Parts: sequence; C-alpha cells; structure tokens
Amino acid sequence: MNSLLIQRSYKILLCVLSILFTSGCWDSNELQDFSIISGIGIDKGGDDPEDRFRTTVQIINPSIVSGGQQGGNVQSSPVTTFSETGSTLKEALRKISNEAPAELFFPHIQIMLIGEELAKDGMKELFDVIERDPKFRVLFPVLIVKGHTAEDALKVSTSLRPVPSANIEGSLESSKEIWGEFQSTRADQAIMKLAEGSVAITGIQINGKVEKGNQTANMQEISQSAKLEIKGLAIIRDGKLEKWLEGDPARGVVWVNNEMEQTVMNLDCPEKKDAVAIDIGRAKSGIKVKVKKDKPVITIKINAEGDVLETHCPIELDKDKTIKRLENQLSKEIKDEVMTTIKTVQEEKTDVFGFGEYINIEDKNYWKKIKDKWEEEIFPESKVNVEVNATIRRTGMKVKSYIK
Amino acid sequence: MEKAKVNGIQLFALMFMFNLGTAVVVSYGIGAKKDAWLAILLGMSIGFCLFFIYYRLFCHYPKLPITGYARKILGNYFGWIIGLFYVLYFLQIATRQVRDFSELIVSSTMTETPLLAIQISFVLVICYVLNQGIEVLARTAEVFIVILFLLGAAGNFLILVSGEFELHNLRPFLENGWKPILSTAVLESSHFPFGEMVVFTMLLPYLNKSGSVKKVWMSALLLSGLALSWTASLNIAVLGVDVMERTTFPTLATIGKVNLLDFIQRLDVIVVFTMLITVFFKGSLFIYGAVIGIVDLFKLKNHQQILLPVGGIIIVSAMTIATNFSGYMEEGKEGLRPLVFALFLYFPVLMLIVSTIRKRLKQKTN
Repeated sequence: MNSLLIQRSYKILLCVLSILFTSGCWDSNELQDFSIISGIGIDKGGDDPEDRFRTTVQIINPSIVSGGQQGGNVQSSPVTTFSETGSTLKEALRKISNEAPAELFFPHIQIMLIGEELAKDGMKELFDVIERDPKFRVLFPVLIVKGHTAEDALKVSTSLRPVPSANIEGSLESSKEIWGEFQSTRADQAIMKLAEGSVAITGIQINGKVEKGNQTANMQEISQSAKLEIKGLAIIRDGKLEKWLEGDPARGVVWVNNEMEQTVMNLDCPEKKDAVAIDIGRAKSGIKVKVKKDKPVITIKINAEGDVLETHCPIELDKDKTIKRLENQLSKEIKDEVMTTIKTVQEEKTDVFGFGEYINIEDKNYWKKIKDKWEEEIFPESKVNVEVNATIRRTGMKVKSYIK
Repeated sequence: MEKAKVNGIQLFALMFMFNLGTAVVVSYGIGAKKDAWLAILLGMSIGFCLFFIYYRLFCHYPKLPITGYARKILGNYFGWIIGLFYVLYFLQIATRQVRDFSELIVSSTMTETPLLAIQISFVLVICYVLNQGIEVLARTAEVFIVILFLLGAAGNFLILVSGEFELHNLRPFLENGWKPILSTAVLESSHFPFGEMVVFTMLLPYLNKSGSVKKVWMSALLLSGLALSWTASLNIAVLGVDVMERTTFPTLATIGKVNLLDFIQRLDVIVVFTMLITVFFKGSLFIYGAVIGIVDLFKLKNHQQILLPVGGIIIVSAMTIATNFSGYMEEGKEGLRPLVFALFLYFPVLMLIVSTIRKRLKQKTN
C-alpha cells in the first residue's frame, strides 16, 4: 500500500516536472508586449562615428489599424515613427526602446528604405544585421528614397491603406505587375548581388510638400499634399549609388531580368507618333553568352506577346499585314529600350544583370582569367545582341477603329 | 547485452535518420562549393567501402559488438584499449549531436533560452527511451520515419513550388576542378555522416535476421546519401553558394524563403522538426553505443544503471566542449579529423587484416 502511494506521488511529480520542461516557454512573449514594426528606414547620421547611422522605425498603432469604427477615429495616426542615431544599426534600434512603449518586433517588417545620401556614401554594411539576426525575415523589399531621407518617407501618411509601409509595398507590387517598370529587390536578393558587385534597386520619391506628410490632415485631403511614388531605378556599384535610371531605361532592366509581367508599349502610326497602345500580357527573356575569339558575346532573347488595346489612327487592324507591321515595330521598340539600358549600364561599368555569372557557366576557365577586370574593362566593351520576337495576338473587342 | 530484437525495417529507419541527423541542416559538403552534391555522393561511395569492412568483421563475429570482437581479434589487453577508444569516440560524437541541436534551437528559434535548459531536456528524453531499451528506440524510429518523410516531402514541394529554385546557381559543373571535391569527400563526408555509421557495429548483433544486414545497410546508405546530396543542391540552388557558405544553418534559411501567396510562409518549423527527429535518433544511437560499450568493457550487469551518469557527462561536456559556436565548428572540422579516421577506418581495417590472417593460420594448422 505504502509503496503504491510512493509510486503514485512519483508519477504526479513527474507530470508536474514535464509541464515545467516541455512547454518551452522561456522565450514566450505576449502580443501586447510588442511594438510591431511595419517599416524600417536608414539614413546617414552625423560625421561622428558615434552616430554614423540614423535609423527610423515605423510602428503600427494596433487600435487604429484594426478598424472597428472606420473613418470616425481621426485623432491619432495609424503609425508612429521613432528615430535614433548610432554607430551600428543594432545600437540605434536598441536606443529606440527608450522611446517605444514596448519591445520592438521585427518579423513583420514590410519595407526597408534607405536614404539617398547614405546610398551615395555606401550601403554595403547595412545588411549584415538583417542577415545575421534571426529576428529579421529577409523577404521584404528594399527601396532607395530619392532626394529625401528615409525618415521623411516613413513619416508620410497615406489614405487608402492607413499603414504607409503596406501602402508602399502594395504600390510596388502593383507597379511591378501592371506597369513593369520596377523590379522589386528583396533584401535577400540585394545581399546576394551586393556581395557579387552591382545591383539595381528601385527608388521611391516624395511628391508635394514633405512637411505636410507628417500630419493626419494629409490623410484627409482628397489629393494629398504629400504623396509617395515609386520612381526610378538606382544603379548601385560596389555598395554605392552611381546613377538613377528612369522611364524606359528602367523598364529595360525589367525586360532583361525576365521579370516583366505586364506593361504598355506605344507604337507609331504612319502619321501620328506614339498612337497605338499595345498591352503586353506575357513576356519571357533569356540570356545566352558565347565566348568568341577571347571576347564574350552576350545575346538577350526576348519573347513578348500582346494585344492592341488602343489606337488613335485609322489603321487596318483587320489585315494580317498591318499586324505583322505592328509586330515588327513592337520588336524594334523593345529592342531600342533594352539597348538604351544596356548602353547606360555599360557606361556606368556596372553589370547589374549578372552577365558575369553566365560567362562563368559558359566557360569557367575564361571567366577565371577575366574575373578581376570584368566590370571595369571588359563589360563596357562587350558586344550585346538583343533579339526580340514580338507577337500580337488580338485586337480587343473591335477590329477596325471608328476613327476614319 | 540486453535481450532485444530489431527487425530490418526498424534498422533501416534508424540508419536513414542517423545519416540525416545534423548533416541535413548544416552547410554540409560546402568545401566543394557548387559541386557539393558530387562530393557527398563520393563520400557515400566511400561509405560503401567502409560497409564492406564492417560487414566482413560482422560475418566473422555475428554475435558480438565491435568492442567485443576487438578483444577477440587483438587480444584481451590491446583490444580492450581499442574498445575504450570506441566508447570515448561515441561519447564525443553524442556530445556533438546534443550541442548541434541546442545551438540550432538557440540561434534560430529560442534566442533567450539558455543552452543548458535545452540540453538537459533533450538528454533526459534520450536517457528515458534508452532506459526502455533498444527495441523501443527502434519502434519509435519506425513511427518517426513516416513523419520525417512527410515533413521532407512537404518542405521540398513548397520550396520547388515557391519558384526560388535557380538551377544556374549550381552551374558551372566542376568550377574549381576535382581537387576540392575529392578533399571534401575524403576528409569530410567520408566520416560525417557515413563513417560515423561505425556505431551500428554495436547494434548489428541485435538484428533478428543477420542475413538482411547487407540489404538494409546498403539501401539506407544509398537513400540517405541521395537525400543529403539533394538537400545540399537544393540549398545552393536557392541561396547561392556564397550565402550558403556564410550561413550556419542553410536549410533553415532556404525554407525561410518560401512565401506562397503571402499566406504559406515562415515554415521554419519543418526544418526544426527534421533536425529534432533526426538528431534525437543520432544522439540516442551514439549514447547507446557508448553505454553498451561500457557494459561490455567493464562487465556490468545491465545498461540502465549507467545511463544517467553518461547523460550527465554528455551534458557537461556539451556545455564545456567550446565556449563559442565558431570554436565548436572549428574543432569539429580540424581538431577531430585526424582522430576519427583511426576509429572508423584504421582500426577496423587492422582488425579485418588480423582476423583474416588468424583464420588462415587456423585453417593451415587444421
């Protein structure tokens, strides 16, 4: 009887112990103990190494964002930003804890912004902490703020999506899908390419009155005084911002990188310039490299498919001949766009497309020979061929236009 | 020696998970850069050669573990010392399993939990299952290998579907020639994990049908080698060789990249579970090898009585083996290398030669 009792109490003790050990709640945290960061911005601090970086975090105000009474609650903003300087990012982030109400929570970061000034000085070291610290996820896009600081950009309030970071991420996604001018550079891709050499990172700019952005009143205006726009493609070489590409050359980068999903190309009519809109719905590109006579020859093949969706002149869209002519025009247009881009990056001596790796795959011994002088000497002189095969499939709901 | 019987499928499950343990999560075979997959396959073929050595020895002494026939072959005195070396080796590698596992947990998911807390709970679980005996461990393996296959299938499928797989990260083939591949295969993957399978020489006497050893061992070796080679290529294809080299747990980084529809993401748990399951069996097998080695060498009655002391030793040495992660990895790479070759290669070869000569001599005198 007695031994049974002892045995039973042993079992109970074991159960209690297993509750202690198996729940693994040493690292447990409650949701309300976190300040959830939606966006992070990094700027140049002072000249003193003590405050080399100025880090801004945008923290979500959960009670506003969660909704409930939409529209009614205007007194407080959906997000708050805090900024601190430090010689390392980690230091600056820890200092922010003095201001923030709770522990900073990193995994939900949606965007990372880098101020132009810092980008010009060099941004190579910024990503180490992001890669090293398990609290960061590396799948958020990185953007460079054109002309302003990241702090300013994170302070701009937006109306359709109350959290500005979510707003930026949304417009980045949609511009990539629908307009095709900007690729989104995820942090992990940026790290990979920075280690190799050159990278192209999309820019963002603040339009209108910057100082108005930092007010909820900005949200209430129909046409906001301060707005954020995805614009430009920053060419980064060796961690430093070298040049901004805009418009067609920026789109050329997307063509070559095989990231084009949808876009619109304008073609000329016999009489009118840029009067036929072709909606590109499907595009694919590939890069081939051959080494001929000790020189690399790079061939970019692009296949594009589109529909005619607008015309301002009376062309005979019911004739196969017309369509063929438009296809040729379209091929030429895309080719020109891509060639402009290639010329620009060759002038800048930045191999943002990673052609070097293709040479390595094609001929590893040759690559070992030229590796060190590739970007400086060989890439600017290399021959790049662009072959475009454009197809127009249909002309929308009408054949001929009413314009006569 | 306890009285227990393990069947072929159970031994296969144990071997397969044993080989995957830690190797599937750490940056394995990366010395060969983009050709890591090839280095691993070469390491696997070395594993086949090793198997034939162990198998010959097993055929000569099908009822004894390696510590037992070491004494039979090399004489009581010298064989005993070699047996002791094996016990120490098993303890050391078991320690490394415990440390590997706790480092993964601490550096990835539970950053504020002390190493010791994780190690204690891990070792206690192992001690418990070994207290129940090898049969229980083998049956557990039978269950967990199914879960492991499901996790592996899910993880691989999601990575491939997420579109992060870039085949050109694996090209060009033989970028740096054969030298790094051969040196990685011979120096690294021959021992880890294929040479570590020497611990199964302690278990073979428990197999219910000794005829199936060949089939079980070779199929487990082949499948786990292919799985490891595939995982290494997958990691390189997703992360790129440069990131892979720098990452402590690349498989974790690879699965972290999965993001389907902004909905299926943060699947780290798949990798942590894989690590947990495989290392649990690997650690258990090494501790078991050490424990029955001790029982055999010191002629103890049963293995249960020394389980907890051995567990304690392992916890203490896992804590004190190195003060930091870098030192720990370095020791595993350089410090242990010359020593382990003696245990998984030189001693078995020596024993095989001596026992063959003895047999010949016996036949002649007869």
